[in-house]
Amino acid sequence: MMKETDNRLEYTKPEVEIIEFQLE
Amino acid sequence: MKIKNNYVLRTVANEHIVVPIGTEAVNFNGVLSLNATGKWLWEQLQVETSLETLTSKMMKVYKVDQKTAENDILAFVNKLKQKAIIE
Repeated sequence: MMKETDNRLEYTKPEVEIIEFQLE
Repeated sequence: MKIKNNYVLRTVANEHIVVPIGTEAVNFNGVLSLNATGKWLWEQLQVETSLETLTSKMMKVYKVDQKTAENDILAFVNKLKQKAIIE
């Protein structure tokens, strides 16, 4: 029996960096 | 939950940057930088959605288990909620 291939992408934790401008 | 209107996402030199425009530029004076998975999540949040839907979609696209996906989505969303970027 053929093994089903996993086409999903490698996972990395979703990151968001918030860069706030100073009242610069 | 959904990301407010008036935020534009652009990829510049492999960096995914989000910039507020219009009235949002007054509410949030800054920019956001996303990694690839963050960009994917941001795009999913352009329409009204739920944690369950996002988790399910993420598990179909990425090699990730449910618990990890849920926790990471919540952390991402909460960070945006702190700045009132998500409604």
